[in-house]
Amino acid sequence: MSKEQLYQERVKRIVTTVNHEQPDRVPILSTYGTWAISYANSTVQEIADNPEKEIEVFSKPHEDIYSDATYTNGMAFDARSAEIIGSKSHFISEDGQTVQHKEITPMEVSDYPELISNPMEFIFNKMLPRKAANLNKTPDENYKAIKELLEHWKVKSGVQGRLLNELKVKHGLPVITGSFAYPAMDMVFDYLRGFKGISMDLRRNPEQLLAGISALEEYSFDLMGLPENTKVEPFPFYATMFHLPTFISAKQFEKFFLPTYDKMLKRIYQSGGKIIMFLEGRWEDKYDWLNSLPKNFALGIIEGDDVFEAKKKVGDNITIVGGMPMELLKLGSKDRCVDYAKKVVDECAPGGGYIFASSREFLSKGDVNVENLIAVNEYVHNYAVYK
Amino acid sequence: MEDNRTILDLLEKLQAEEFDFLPPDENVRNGFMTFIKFIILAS
Repeated sequence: MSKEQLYQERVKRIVTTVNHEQPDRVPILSTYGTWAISYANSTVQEIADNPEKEIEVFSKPHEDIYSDATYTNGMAFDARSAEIIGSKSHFISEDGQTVQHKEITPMEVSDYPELISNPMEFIFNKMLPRKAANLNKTPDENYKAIKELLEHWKVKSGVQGRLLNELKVKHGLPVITGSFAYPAMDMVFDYLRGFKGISMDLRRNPEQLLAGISALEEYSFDLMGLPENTKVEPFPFYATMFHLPTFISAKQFEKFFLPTYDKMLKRIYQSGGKIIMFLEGRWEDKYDWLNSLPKNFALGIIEGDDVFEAKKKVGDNITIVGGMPMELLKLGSKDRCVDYAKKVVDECAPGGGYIFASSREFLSKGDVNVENLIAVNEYVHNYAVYK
Repeated sequence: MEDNRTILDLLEKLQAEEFDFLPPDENVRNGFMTFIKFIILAS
């Protein structure tokens, strides 16, 4: 079988299961973040110095470990972008192989009227110079930094395009995430107000917070890049990595998060696309919402919830992704890992709507015992065949 | 004369002068600018 045929077979396997039909076998999704860097015995700095290295590094696990698709394509956030604009938001860890995010909250509560009135002008002309030292100089110096960032991303986006092609041509491996749907409220949380700020705003300034989220709706849509009345293929998927929802109640989620986010999902649905949602943390109190989504439209990566309960409670409506505890892959014996993988497949696979994956994305060297991962993925690939 | 160009002014200049590596389609160029703005916001 050619790599092109293998690629198409895997895409069909995934799309079939997302439609709650039984494919030939249970698809296996790999979720390799910066862990790939340690696996390839490289460093973040080495990739920064030689951008083409990212292709070799993020291809390396797929030479040795079976999967039917991978979650993302290379390193989404590098420390170099923050360095260029003079921000401390991302930095290389002491191990040299992971990138850490430091919460910076450059927006004050008193800034809400300006955010609401003109979000782009507030964010770029007023707020960003507070956190990005190299955007707070003379216009000529600021332009130099912006131009350097563009040059960096011209190279990096070219590399990521070649990595995508390398995975397809050499490994027959699809990347499941095509574009991102970034919720407006997570933007406020991640980049403007932070955990402490948004927690206070939810209680003390709910109307301003709501208006601020609403003000970012247009930018969220622009970033998603899906104009009205556009048609897209059902694969690859739009992706949302939820950050705030696990920390807020179902009532707050409904009042603050959904008014803008539901509109984004509606746009994706109407275009023929599908959404893969990283359900970070615990989501049991929001299962009613997951069950209210159109059937066969969404995939949910289960992180903190009990995967067996999730399958029973929302698995008829969305595709369940996950189930293999990262902690077990890291610390358990090979036999225990394989036994557990069998249990997950036996309970989650019947009827389709299930993709086998680890419960968390691998980031650091010690996150997983590779021998266990190889054994489990080989086992599931051979065992989880639909008759 | 005082130079009062803002970051948004500079981003506009960047798109006008430095996007020749992209196809001439305005939608493509606007999309890439939206992405660059996100990188700045997220970094």
